[in-house]
Amino acid sequence: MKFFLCLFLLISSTIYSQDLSKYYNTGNTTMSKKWVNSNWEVGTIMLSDGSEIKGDVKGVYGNKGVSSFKFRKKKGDDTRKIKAEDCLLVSVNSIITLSLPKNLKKKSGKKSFYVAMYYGKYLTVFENPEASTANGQSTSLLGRGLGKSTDFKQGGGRMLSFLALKDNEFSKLTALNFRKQMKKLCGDNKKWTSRTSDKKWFQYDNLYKVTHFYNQTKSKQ
Amino acid sequence: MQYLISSILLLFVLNINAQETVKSKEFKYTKTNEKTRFLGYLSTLNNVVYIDNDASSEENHKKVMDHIKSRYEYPEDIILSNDSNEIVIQEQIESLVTTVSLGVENSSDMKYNFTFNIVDGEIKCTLSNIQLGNIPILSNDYEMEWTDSPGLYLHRTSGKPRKTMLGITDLKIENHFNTLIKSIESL
Repeated sequence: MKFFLCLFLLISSTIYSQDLSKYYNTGNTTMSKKWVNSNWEVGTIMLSDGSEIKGDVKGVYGNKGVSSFKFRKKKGDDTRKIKAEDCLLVSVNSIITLSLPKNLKKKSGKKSFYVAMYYGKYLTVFENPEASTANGQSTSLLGRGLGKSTDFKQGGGRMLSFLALKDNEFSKLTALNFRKQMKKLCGDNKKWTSRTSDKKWFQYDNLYKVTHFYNQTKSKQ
Repeated sequence: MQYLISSILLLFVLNINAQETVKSKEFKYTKTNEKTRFLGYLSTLNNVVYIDNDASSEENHKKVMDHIKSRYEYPEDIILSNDSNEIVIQEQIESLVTTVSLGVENSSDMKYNFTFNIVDGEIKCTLSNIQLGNIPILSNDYEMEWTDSPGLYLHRTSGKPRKTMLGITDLKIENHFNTLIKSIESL
């Protein structure tokens, strides 16, 4: 009897295990700031318990970016508010938004949404909410200026810094010191390191592919 | 009555069998009945093609990997996932889609996912997430913008073929994918 109880518990835990692997190696390659659509679009939300809900999703913007999401199974159904504390990840229209600690230095406490540029198994790169863009404006100012309905797909300028998450540690990647910062972060991958001699490939504008190559070759170490 | 039921069941089973044996060997655009105002009739590409052979699953896996390595110095650049029975790649081909409108030729890049499901004697090749890319005219940062592509509008709303596209635009795309398939078959 005890055996069957343990087996049942094991099966239940596996069904709801947080399998985020199907979202790996996805993201949006653009270096511009991405806006999560504030109109209803088909999307998937992975909740904190590991279960997934699929339906219509739209982003709700606050002062510093996406503050929450709204979800409904289909048109006409009741709408549900999803905050960062309620979920792990939201995937809408090839944009992945992650739920991470609001205070990245503390790594605990309240959570916040961050738009991923690349979501990987070993290294994830996501947008820095405080980043400046190439057109000289702070991205948070851009968000405020556009109001609630931000229904456009183009970004608000090329972002001059991103944040990276590796081994549960956060670090900053800036356009100015990209190579030095990236080598420090990814120096544990020999194949990746040997490719950095190709300066045409190893540059800030190629961040997506540089991150992808790291993740793809890291597992072969 | 029993004979009637048995005959119906037999017919049903034979029908299923027949459907299962029809496996596409090449990619081809086919006109659908889906008509969009101003754009015309949509033609879609079959998204699954089969490569049948006498190779084992390990040999088939090697064929696909050898094909990828022959095209890319760093295969990892395009590989999204790689298991013993499935390889998923994402390719981006420059100016694969060319269209002529009002005498002006336009070209778009195409991005797609290719999934190779590998078993003994067969490689199932599935195309998905096809997107067309363009740099918007008013773009400040000249970054490519990708939009989902359901297919090509090779026929006008009247049903007449678009002479500047039919047999040109579709053929270029079909040839691209069929060449990839043949390349894997020949390994």
